[in-house]
Amino acid sequence: MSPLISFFTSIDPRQKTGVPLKVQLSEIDRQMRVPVIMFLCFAVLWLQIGTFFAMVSSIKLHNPEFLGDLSWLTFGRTRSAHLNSVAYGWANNAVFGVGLWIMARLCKVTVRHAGILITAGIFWNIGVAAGVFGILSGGMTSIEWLEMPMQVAPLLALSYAMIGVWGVIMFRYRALGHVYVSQWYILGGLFWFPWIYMIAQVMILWVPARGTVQAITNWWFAHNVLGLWYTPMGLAAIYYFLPKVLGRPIHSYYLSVLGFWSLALFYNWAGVHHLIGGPIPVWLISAGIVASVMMVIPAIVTAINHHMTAVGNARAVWCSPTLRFIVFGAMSYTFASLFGSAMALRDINVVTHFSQFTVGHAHHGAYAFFTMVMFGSVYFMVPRLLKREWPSAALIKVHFWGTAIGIGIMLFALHIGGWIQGEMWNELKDGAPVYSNLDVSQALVKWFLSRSFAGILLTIGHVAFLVNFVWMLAGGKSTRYKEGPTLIGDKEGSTL
Amino acid sequence: MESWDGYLIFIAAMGAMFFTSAVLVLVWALKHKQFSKLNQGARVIFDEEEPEGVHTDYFPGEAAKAREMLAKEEHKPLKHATR
Amino acid sequence: MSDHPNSDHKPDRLPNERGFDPHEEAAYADDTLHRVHQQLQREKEEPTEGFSPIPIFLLFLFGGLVFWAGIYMANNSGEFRPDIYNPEWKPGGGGNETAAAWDPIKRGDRLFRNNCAACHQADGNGVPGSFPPLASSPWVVGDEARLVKILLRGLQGPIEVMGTTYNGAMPSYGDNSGGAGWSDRDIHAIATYIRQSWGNGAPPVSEETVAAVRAEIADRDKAWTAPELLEMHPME
Repeated sequence: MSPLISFFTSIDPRQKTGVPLKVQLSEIDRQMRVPVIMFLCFAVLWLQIGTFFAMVSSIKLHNPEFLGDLSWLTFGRTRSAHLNSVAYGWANNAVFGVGLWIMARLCKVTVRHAGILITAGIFWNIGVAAGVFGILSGGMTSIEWLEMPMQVAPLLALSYAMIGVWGVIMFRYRALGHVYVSQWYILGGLFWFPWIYMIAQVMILWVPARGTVQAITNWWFAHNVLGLWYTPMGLAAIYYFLPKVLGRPIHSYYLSVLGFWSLALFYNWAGVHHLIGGPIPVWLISAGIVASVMMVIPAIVTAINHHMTAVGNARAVWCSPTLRFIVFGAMSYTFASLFGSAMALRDINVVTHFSQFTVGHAHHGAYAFFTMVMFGSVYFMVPRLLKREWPSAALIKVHFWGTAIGIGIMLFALHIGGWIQGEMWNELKDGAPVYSNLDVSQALVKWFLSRSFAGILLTIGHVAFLVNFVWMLAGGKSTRYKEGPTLIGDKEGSTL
Repeated sequence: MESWDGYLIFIAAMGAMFFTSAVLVLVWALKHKQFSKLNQGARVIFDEEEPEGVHTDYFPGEAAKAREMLAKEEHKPLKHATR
Repeated sequence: MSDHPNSDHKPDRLPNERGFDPHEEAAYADDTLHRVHQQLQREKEEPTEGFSPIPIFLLFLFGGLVFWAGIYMANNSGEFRPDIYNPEWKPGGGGNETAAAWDPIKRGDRLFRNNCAACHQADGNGVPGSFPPLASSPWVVGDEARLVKILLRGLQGPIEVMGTTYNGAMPSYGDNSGGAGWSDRDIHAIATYIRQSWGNGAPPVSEETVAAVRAEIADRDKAWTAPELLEMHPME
């Protein structure tokens, strides 16, 4: 057998035949343990770093002199450092961990060469760290969502390829039978992300297109990275964990499949609505608006499905840390999607465009939906991977309440404040603006203060999460599971 | 103007590829009967260890209490049915 | 999975004897499991279809959305032309004609703010000692040909304005080398604007005048000096 062929045989991740299913599953958890835990460690670390930059940026908005003398921590840099460390650091690492684990479970296969996956994961995080360092030291680009200096892009793209390919290999060798909707979402996301990332990098930074094509590409990327990367991964997690933890199948599986395909076929168009009023052909913008409004279909379908699955199980949801976060995230998904569709309409966009409303909407989707779902997923996965129980229920509750109340206050402040801001900008008398920029800024201070307060609550939640997570990793035998909900079998915690 | 056209054609081609690939996968899924027997499909997430009908996640240290409470709730519809 | 080529060499991954029996014991001993299974069996007695169809109100919602999308695209697509940016645009007219009405003061205001105000200031008073004023300056409200010549070629060296001498360089907005290459229309707009702002009450400069002056000085390339201009157009 030639070395090449033997390599391709060696990546075949299927289990040995004749082994009972539950043995296979515990094997899968065992083999996925190191890479998945590694990704989650990086994710939790980046979450803290991202939170720090978020707090600094938020305080600067109502106290501009705060840390104003440090060029590395000026607003322009901390804001982008925040975005990039939570997007490429926290969110992507979480997706790699959660997505690959769900994929392995549903395909009933595992990663054969975990070493390659781990190495690629380390290089991904080196790339993100270099990118954030580049932003802080003043080397950022002017392209929103792609602020990292362009030199890190090849490293990120290559590492991603070596990470994402394992999801595809697992799908290729999946156990026969039905492809569950979560697998569709993850597989789609694994292809969509590199596609949009590379095209955006090439057309904006490496071989820059001329004129407004750059802006179109920019928003095509920035919107799709949320809608075709984080959203599918978040929905995959909801569709897996919600029915799984409740022990009852999804209300209407037909609707969930419909939701996936409407997203896959039409979402790609929606990003152009960020350029409403801009000098690009009007049909392109109108098409983007129509596509954004059409996203009501997957949103409603998903909302009905999640609601009907969870309804009547309120107590079960409340008793499960995973489901508390996941259901919060699922509800936020519905509202964020409907808000997003409304914000694409010209009449509403004329107020919300450029205002804090848009910032609020971004956190609605990326935090209240995606991040909360990832928190819930981590609470489900880690006990199964480490075969031990979370050390502290109280810390989980602090985490939940801190983040849930924090993001609630923040969304309220940014949506209301942003709407006021937009209305003040638009207020005209005899064709001239009524309010000066200073008036608008002063009117916003109280909303910015509320946002910083919400940020403190979020920080408390994140620190509780960090403490619990580190405690869990370091905990050893003292915190082995005793009661048996999460780890059926293995009652004495004897195998590890 | 020429270069503009070039970019537009490129973007249009990428968009068309995006859409076409999605349609192709949809056709594959149809051919492989991914859309039949959906009710069984929805149950592939359950396995022997975590079967259908069993809650599988509680707060650490509160599982027994939670299960008791849930058990009470689950019996409620039964009572209604017998009445 | 039975035709799996790999099935013959992975002896290291067989289950170890210890860990797996307790699974089953746990499962069978679990009362909850039994009870829930009973409940599930009860539930399965209800007749179910192959899959639940889409609720009817969703079909109406989707139909309504698609209908709206069609209408919206028909009304806001600008005929899919690459040169239409205005959502109000209608084929064969509407919107664009009214917007095209020409107002030299409006255009001049914009040109002034973007090109002139940095030196001559928004109030037209200039900066004492550096940039001469335009408000009530005879160079502005006086002979229109002299003013147009300055705009089209710029001005170099000392110039006396209302008793003060300034020594600077006014750039050219005409079509000589280094000039900004403004059209007759824009020169007409800016000249008219500065002659009628800040209390200046001079008559407008027409586009034809600008064209005539432009033709007259076509051979000249470098900027004017004040004495040169005064020789051609003595101060009134």
